Amino acid sequence: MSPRGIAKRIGMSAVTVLLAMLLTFVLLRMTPGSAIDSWARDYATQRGMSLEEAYRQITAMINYNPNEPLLTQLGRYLGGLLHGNLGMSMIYQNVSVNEIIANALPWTLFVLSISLVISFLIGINLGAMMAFRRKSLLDPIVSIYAIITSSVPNFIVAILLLVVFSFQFGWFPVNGAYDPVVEPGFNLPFLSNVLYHGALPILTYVITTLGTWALTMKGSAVNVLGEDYIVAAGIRGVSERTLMSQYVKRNAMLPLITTLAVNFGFMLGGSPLIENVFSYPGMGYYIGQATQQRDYTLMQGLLLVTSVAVIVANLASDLIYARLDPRVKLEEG
Amino acid sequence: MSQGFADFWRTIYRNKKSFSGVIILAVFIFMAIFGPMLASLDMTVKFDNRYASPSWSHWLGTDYGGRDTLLQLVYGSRDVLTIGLFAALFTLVIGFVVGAVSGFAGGRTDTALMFVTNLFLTIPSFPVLMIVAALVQIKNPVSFSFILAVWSWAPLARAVRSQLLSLKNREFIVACRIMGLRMPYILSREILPNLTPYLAINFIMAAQGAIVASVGLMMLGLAPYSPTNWGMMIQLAVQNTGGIFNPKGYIYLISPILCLGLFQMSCIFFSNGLEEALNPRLRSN
Amino acid sequence: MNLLRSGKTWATLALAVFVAAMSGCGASSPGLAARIEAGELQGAQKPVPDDQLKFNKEKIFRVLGGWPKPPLYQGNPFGSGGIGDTNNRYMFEGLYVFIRSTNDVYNVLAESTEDGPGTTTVHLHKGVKWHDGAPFTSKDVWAYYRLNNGADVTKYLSSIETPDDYTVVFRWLDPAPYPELKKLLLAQDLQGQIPYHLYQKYVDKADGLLKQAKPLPDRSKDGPFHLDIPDELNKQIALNWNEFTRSGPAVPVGTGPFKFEKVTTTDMLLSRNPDYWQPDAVNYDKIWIKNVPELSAQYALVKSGKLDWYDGTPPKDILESLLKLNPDLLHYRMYDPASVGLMYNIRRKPFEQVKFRQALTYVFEKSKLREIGNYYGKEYPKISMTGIMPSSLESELSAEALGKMTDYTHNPEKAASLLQEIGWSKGPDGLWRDPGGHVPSFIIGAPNNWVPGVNSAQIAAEQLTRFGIPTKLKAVDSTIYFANADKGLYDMSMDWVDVSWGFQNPWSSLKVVYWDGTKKKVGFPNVKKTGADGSEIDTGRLDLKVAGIDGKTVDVDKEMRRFPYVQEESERKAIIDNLAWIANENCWGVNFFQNVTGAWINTRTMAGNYPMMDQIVQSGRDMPLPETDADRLAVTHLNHGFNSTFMPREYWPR
Repeated sequence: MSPRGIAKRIGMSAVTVLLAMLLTFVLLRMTPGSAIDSWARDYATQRGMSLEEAYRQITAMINYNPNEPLLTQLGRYLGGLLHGNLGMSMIYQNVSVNEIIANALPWTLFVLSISLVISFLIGINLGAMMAFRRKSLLDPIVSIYAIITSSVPNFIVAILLLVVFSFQFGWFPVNGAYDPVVEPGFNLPFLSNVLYHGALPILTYVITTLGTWALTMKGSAVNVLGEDYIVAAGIRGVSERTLMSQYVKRNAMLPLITTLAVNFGFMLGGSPLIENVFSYPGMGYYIGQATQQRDYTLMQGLLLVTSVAVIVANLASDLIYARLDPRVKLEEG
Repeated sequence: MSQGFADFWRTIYRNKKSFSGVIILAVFIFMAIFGPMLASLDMTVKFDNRYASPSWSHWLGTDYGGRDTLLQLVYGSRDVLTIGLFAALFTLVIGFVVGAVSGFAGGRTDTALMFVTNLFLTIPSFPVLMIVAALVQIKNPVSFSFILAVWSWAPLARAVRSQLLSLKNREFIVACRIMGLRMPYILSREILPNLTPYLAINFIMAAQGAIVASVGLMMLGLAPYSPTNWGMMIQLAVQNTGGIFNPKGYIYLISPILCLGLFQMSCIFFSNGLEEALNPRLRSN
Repeated sequence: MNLLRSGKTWATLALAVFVAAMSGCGASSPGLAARIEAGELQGAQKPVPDDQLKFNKEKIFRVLGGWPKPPLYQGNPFGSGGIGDTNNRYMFEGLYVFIRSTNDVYNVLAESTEDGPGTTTVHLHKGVKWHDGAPFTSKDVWAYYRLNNGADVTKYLSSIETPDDYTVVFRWLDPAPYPELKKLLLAQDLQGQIPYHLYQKYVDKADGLLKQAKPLPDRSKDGPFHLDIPDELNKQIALNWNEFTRSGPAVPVGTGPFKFEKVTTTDMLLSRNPDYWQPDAVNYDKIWIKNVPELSAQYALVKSGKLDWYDGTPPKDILESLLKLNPDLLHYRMYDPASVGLMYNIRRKPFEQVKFRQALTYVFEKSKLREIGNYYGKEYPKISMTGIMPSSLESELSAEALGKMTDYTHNPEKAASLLQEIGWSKGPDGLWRDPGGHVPSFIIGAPNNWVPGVNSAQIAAEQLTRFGIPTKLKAVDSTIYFANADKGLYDMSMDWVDVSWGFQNPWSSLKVVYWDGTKKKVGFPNVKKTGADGSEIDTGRLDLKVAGIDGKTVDVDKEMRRFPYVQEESERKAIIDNLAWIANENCWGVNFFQNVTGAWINTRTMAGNYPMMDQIVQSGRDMPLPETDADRLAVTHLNHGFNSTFMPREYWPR
């Protein structure tokens, strides 16, 4: 894999991000329902005035001129982006989009990365074992586990964990990302508090996604098992343990890395499950809020972050993939 | 061909698991086609009869409004199975073709296809669905499935492509290429069977995901509200029982979940036999 | 197979844990019923001395609430997103407070009130301080209305004067609203929200801008302080308001019993205001508000006794299960001033025909709509939609008018005969056909996030379909539903009807029907006029002339305009009779059921004189709707999060 090839890939990814950003920008403005609409309804109730009157006043107040040409708006957005500035929220006019993202992203990233890594690691090991011992009881047990966890709405799992471990046994806190009496900072009490609060959300994620990883891994590993070199290795007398860890697992997890990358990007958009049941702060709340209010600047900022995450994760998986599998050559095309 | 087909069925039949999968699947399909003709569903509210336990007249008991749960599942099965199967099929076909062609052809084709795939991964679905909802009203389950598939093929395409990158350099594929066989032939005859177990699992997960996601489309106003859709039944059950806070409602809550799980299980068991039928080496193992 | 064994163990453990969790919280102290039976709660209760506190030693009042999460949070209650509705009442106060359901008005920051000819003079309590230490004076009340000049009451005022620091004179326009309405208009505002010393710049600017406007020539148009505000000036006023909403302090500054202490995305802490002007009225040291959006998580909090007070009515069986699982819980019900209902869109055929609308109304079986929408609601089968809260129909309307109203009780035969009268016929397939022989297919729209609305509308659609008029429900994303329904995109649309969220008087609920939400969804026509260039201009003013109760044609808009100024009660009653009768007769919508909401007390941690104490044991802690005025008042106090009282002063830690 030449440096030139890598540079090309990065260039391509940048173009994708740019186009995704443009499309998002346009799509948001085409979406039915406007910021003025929802704001005017609140405003009319709050100030006890008629909706028409509220509309007129909001149009004067809002940080957005619906009649401004799209290109001018886009120009301003891009101009700000060049300076790393995503603009001010249209509704919460004192708050910058950068500030909102800086507040939300770390929490999502924290829970997401830990739970994704744990469930992925457990899942692929289980999956490989299932494929390897096709006739054992492991396969039906894990299959049924996967069926149950993917059929039961994961929100019920979350509630169960909450009721049992937080309320019944009092082992874990009820909600939030940290105790409001602890001062946030880079110190041990705060960090351990954060980990303590994150435990149940992480556990929920792991429990509910584990089965799917295992099944997908099994599907992939079954495939690998049929390969000549595995069969040959078996005949050569390579021990089962080596065969599984060095040959089967390594090869079978390759396609899953791609899925892992895609999931990572998707989940960065926040999970209603975690954020609602455990009242955990994160990207989801702000995306929901911005969508409800049609806060274009906030929406496009948050969506840009998730787009970049998806693309970067995919790029990373491509590069890692080529490194893990010697047969894959990155095309120079 | 017919020989191959008979062989295939023999393998399925011999594998206990996959045979039971086929049976359950057949029951589901029978239920979807003939169920609504055999019994009629009365959705009139009979509040005093809510959350009834299973009995001769209500095999799975009743829901929060005293309506028969089993009959609702039967009535819902037609739309649910159509949506689940079609959405999964669309997802799989688009995902496989895009991913396989992209990975196999490489070069500019790969770059272009992956560009489109990545775009689909990054464009937010909410604005698009809202725009679509304002323009059209979806009435038939097939177009419904298509809209669901539009948002789910991209991850699969990427996963298939990454497998292809590795597969296409294996000896048997290289041999095919040297023999001058054309891409459609290689993809369908050599690559597809190799990926079947992997695709099968993805198919099952996509069907399940589509059934659950169809509720989301209904709640956006893209399609009429259907209380017998299994996904909607689960949502209504959760809403009315608070998930776990109403002991009387457990059977009602569990029924649609079980139904969905059973459908999924039958698919998984069936695919288990499929793996062996298509991958002869596994049989001797 | 290690894994197998551990899997089984896990499953067994999980099951055991689950069973343990659902079988109650292993209460170590007797529940409420046991305490009452042991005679523990006889006679008037008194606050528990600090050294005898057992279950809430820290004296924390724990509740739920919502607010814009930091960094969106700011301290100006008028800023975007506000500071959270339910948190308002702990930190802010008004001159008065009115009690929802009775409309009684009580003094808060006002010490006394005198009504003069054309004026209302308010004497303020002395010694009231803002949370930052500055005194609360008449200037603050004046500032509130000069800046917040969209407030309803300013339309009826000519000026506000402040002869001294503790006296405010409201000068009413002539004619002035009738006395009870005057009181309510003032009582619905929280005047202690705009400290002049913090917002002087914006208040003075707004005052200056208002002074530039000329008075209106007559009473045909409304304006703040009777001013005619041209567009350009209006824009400047709005911009100044916008500047004001962006300028707030980082934390709220009010005069209330609790001061803001801390906010995170999930928790808010308020602490007792040491300078509060009624020190004896505060029994708690802190209020801890949690932000938990998920209903099931809320139920879990209620069940485990982690809240002192909770507002809401879960479905019947969940409610009963919660009461059973936690013997300390006590649940009260009260009427909501709103009903779940459906409106016909008269812009669409055949809904422009009153007989068609009436026919559909006869099809609905309201008891079933209520059972699914909200079991605890109350249906009124006789009415369609009247513009009056059904629970106060008997007290607001004369017996004569009630007697003349068409009775819409479920009656499929009547529905069929009405349809036949307008040329419809029923085919052999059981489906109705319009005069053109066409089988219709209708859509009911509902906002997707409104559970009682969606659930009851689904039953309504099924009832119509069963009757032979195919109807489907469309649950539409709430961000576009209301705009769509106002534009008339659905044949029938769901929303709150016969509603008055503020004070509960026929004036405010009739306004919703004829001038606001209902008007837009039903699609009443407006008066059109021809502009200078010959184009048609929509004046926005209602154009509805229909037969009244006595058979004479009524200009509804004119009656509505006259209403607030009619001083004679009997004359007002006649207007209410007439407008309510017209609404019911024309059948523009259907009131499915009046909503009933609930309040929960955790009696383990919160003590006080619980309302209707003598009925607690026999009702199994699930209290019926209060019957007497005294009980209604006591129960309404429990709804403190809404527009009524600040409750914690009547209850204390145990």
